[in-house]
Amino acid sequence: MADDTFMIAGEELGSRLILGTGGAPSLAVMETAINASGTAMCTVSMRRVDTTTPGSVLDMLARCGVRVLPNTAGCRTAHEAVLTAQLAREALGTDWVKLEVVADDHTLLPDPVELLDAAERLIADGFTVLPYTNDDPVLARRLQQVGCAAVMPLGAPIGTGLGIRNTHNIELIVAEAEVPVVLDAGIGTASDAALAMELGCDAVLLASAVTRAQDPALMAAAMAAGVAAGRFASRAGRIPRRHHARASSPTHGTAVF
Amino acid sequence: MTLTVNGKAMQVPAGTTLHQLMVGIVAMGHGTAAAVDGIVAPRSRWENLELHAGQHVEILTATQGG
Repeated sequence: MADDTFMIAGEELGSRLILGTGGAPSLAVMETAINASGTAMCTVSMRRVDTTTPGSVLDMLARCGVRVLPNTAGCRTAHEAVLTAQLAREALGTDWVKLEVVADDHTLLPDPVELLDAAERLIADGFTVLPYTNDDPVLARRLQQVGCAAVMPLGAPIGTGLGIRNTHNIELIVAEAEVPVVLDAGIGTASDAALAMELGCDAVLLASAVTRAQDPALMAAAMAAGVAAGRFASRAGRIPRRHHARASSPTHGTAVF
Repeated sequence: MTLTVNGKAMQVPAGTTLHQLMVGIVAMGHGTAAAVDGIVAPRSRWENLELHAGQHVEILTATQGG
């Protein structure tokens, strides 16, 4: 296959599958899933230090050789998100952040007003901002205009596994995007990941679909295959849909009995 | 004096620096950051940052998350 480099903010990532590490029953299970996925970047959350928790997610991710992408999960306001991102930069030595500002607990949908405000503040502070956003083409446009390095629209609410509920909006976001589009959240199974790529997304970010699967490592491999298949299909150019059949066998030379 | 550290009251000697507090709570390894009264305290300032009674300190690290 021809070179198909995936880059964000001028940096190459070796995989179009980004994994969240939330929801796995243990670090060991997460490690096997990461290795099976072939991912090059994993998200982590910033939480209060708990000295009773054994093991370190950072040590595990270092063993896997993947880039660490801190998120601002749990933040409800731009103020909280900015402070959390600044702490993540201090703790992890990266100015990349998956910006997450959600409105409530039962939808976990992004709050667009707080999200855009936080993105502007973080970009002014030197961050490379990858916002988790609604499947709203206008908001995606605004996030690009303020300087986000990617846009990451949801397929469906976090953890639902409902797949991509509004394929039309994802296509609109992709058509207009001048930065990478990462389908983030809502993926349930490998065909959802493939569809995201077929719609033209540059990458897929998922967590629960792998970490809460019965066999996380096997599902991680399935997701990697789904992303790859969808990407190939997107580049290959699918046939147009037709209302009526069109024979693939030649009509010329058909026998007459 | 009493500080609030990650939401819990903690007694420390007067004049305790953020560096001394951090050493007592977590290994000085990578991956932690602190905010004092809602303002990020860069690691380079921990040594000289003297804490005062009643201050709120949040100490964060990376954990598994989406």
